[in-house]
This record gives sequence, structure tokens and C-alpha cells, in this order.
Amino acid sequence: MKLHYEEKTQGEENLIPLINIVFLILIFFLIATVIRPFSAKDIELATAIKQDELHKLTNTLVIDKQGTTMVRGAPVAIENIKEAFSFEDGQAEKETLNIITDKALPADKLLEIVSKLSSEVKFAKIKLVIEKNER
Amino acid sequence: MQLETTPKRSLKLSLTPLIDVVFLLLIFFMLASTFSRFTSLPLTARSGEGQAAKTMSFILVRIEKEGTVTVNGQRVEVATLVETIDQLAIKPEMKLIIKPIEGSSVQHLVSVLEKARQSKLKAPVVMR
Repeated sequence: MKLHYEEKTQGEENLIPLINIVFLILIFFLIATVIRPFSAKDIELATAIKQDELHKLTNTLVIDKQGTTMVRGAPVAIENIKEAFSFEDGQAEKETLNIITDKALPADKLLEIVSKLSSEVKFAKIKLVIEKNER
Repeated sequence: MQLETTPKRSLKLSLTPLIDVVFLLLIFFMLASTFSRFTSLPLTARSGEGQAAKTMSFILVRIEKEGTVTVNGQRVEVATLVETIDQLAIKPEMKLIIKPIEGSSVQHLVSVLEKARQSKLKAPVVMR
């Protein structure tokens, strides 16, 4: 038996509603979110309720769970930190170092790295980046 | 004088490149953006070695395993840390020293630092 197939109509779909929705989502993302200031994967930041506002996130040093120090995604030894940030002479003394680390890292390991850092480079400030907990 | 007018052509613009670009932008923002709000905490770390004993009095907060906190040897809850420090801080020049020991994590340190900064002694020193 020969089945009768209904011929499909090649009607042009109206794309305007789709574009409207996509534009709306795009505008929502543009307004409601901020670009993630660092690209460290698998790092869960420590949380606190009320702390200083973070205005600018420059000179970031990432420390992973194992205590590996990384600058711009590449592992860097503490001794070479000045070269990794390509600081000029005397520039580090005016800069703030932002440390991004996992909340599970042992605190003594973090302090060991910070004290090593302080003996290598005299940063104006050393700050720990944390996530705001809206409790 | 009658001017010769060129007949208007109705141009139908293709929307496909526009949709392509908008989708690309959308995917970029979806992947690169975050709803988390970041803050920072000043970290003043001092090495315990080679420090000369000073006459200045201090309050010692130790963070022990699993985040247990002791203030001058007395075990306290993190929730009551601010009150405990305020009671002990009889002189404004007193120093608040925070010492995490093995087994405590960065989250424990951050929680204690947060409470310590709410106390009268606003500038705690973290010691190894």
C-alpha cells in the first residue's frame, strides 16, 4: 500500500521573536553579572559575610589545594614571583598582591607561602580574596 | 523641471549574521560571568621565629583542628569570639595574635579573622 505523505511546506520561519528573546537574555547578562575576575578552575573561595569591597583585582597569585603557586595560569616558584609579575625596580612596594586560594588549603601552608613572599618581595599590601556570603 | 528619480529598491537584510554574533556574545557572557561577589581580607602574616619578646600585652587566639578556637587557652565558640576578645581587651594598645595550628584550613582562618576585625582590636596579626 502506498502511503500518502503530506508535502512539507518550506515556509520561512519568523526569526524576530527568537532575536528578541536572545537580546533580552544578552542584556540581562550584561547588566546582572560581572566578568569572573580570575580564571582559576577547581578553586572554591573561603566565604565571609562582611568585608572590604574589592575594587580592582590585579596582581593575583593563585594557590591551589596542594599549595602550588600560580601566576597567570602557570606554576611559579615564590623566588621568581617578581619576574612573573614583570615588576620594575621599586614597583612591587606600591602594589597590592591578591591571593586567591581554596578554602580547604591548610592555613599554615598559606601562612608559610605569605611569609616566604614577604621575605622575597615587599608588597604594599597582601590581601586574601574571598567570596561574600549573603547570609 | 522634472527630476528623474531612481526607483527605491526594497532591501531585505539577512538576519543570520546578526543572530550569529548575538549568540556568540550570549555564550561568552554566560561562560565568563559570575553572580558571586568578591571581597578581600587584609593578611598580615608574621613568622613566629626570631621575634623578640615585647612588653606589650596581647591576646592569643589559636585555631586548632577542625576550626576549634581557644582564646588565651580557653576554648570558645566562633560565634562568641567578638564578645570574648572585647572582654579581654582592656587596653587599646593590646595586640591580637591569631595562630592557626596544623589541621586548620583557610576557611577557619577567614572566619576567625572576620570576627577578630569586628572586635575592639581591629588589626589582628596572623602568626605562623
